Amino acid sequence: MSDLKFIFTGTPGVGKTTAISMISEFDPVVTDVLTTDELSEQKEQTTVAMDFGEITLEDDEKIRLYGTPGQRRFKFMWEILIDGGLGLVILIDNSRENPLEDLDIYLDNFKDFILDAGAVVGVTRMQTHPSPDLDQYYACLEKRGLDLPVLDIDVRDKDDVIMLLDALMAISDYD
Amino acid sequence: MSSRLKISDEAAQYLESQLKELISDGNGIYAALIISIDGHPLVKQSQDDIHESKLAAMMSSLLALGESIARESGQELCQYVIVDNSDGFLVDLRVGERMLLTVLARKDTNLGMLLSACKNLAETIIQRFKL
Repeated sequence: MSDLKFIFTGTPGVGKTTAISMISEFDPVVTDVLTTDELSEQKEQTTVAMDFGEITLEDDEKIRLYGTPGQRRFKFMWEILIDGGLGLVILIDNSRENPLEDLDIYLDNFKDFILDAGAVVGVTRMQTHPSPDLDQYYACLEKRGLDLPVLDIDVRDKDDVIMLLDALMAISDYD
Repeated sequence: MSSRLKISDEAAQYLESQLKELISDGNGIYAALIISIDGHPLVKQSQDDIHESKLAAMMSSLLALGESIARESGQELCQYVIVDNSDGFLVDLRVGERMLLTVLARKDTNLGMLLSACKNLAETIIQRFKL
């Protein structure tokens, strides 16, 4: 029996903490504090260290789920959290000003890890903000020579979050 | 230093003077910062070059981890975290709901005196701004 470790990252306010809470078997560890900058217009609290949750597969294997802070000033936490990870979930909020540029930032910052371990992209709020569409996301990835699954998801829907993990397990080294 | 947590010029000057006093008290402290709870530097006084933006983000993470460890242990409201290193101390102390005080001190500092000085300053700031 071994443990698998997956990391959730993505734009501030996209719902990384929510996604982990939807599927974790226990109340996840959260490190949210009051937001004091422009993000406070969107949400009162933000993650400044990490989220942590866990789920158990049918064969008793555990998946440890870590969420990173979204803001770039917490990049040092990204580097700590990816250590030993087997895959990355990148969550992008389609209601932000330039979601494809957001995606680029995470692809740049996790470049080596993505090449080593694999990643899946989950795009949120597509129902209210349909543009850019999934084809544009795939085009963005293709320009970088990346072939990653891109899924339209709602982080408040447990099945959607599990679908992300399934996609990630399908492309990661996990058998 | 820029941040969206609004503090007036007068408040910034007051905080700077308080940090200056803390450093000049001969207690081994060589740098002190006030940062927002979510990791933005607000005010800094330092005798050394320090990267305040990175330090502010890290100190915010540290206290938040302290708080979540406290909750996991059935306790709550982490007030401060001390990092004891081979050549110095770091103190990361809550100041009201939205700010932290971060202090860097030499190893020959008396830890009790250091902590007391930090707590006193935090209390002074809380009283002054009614935090």
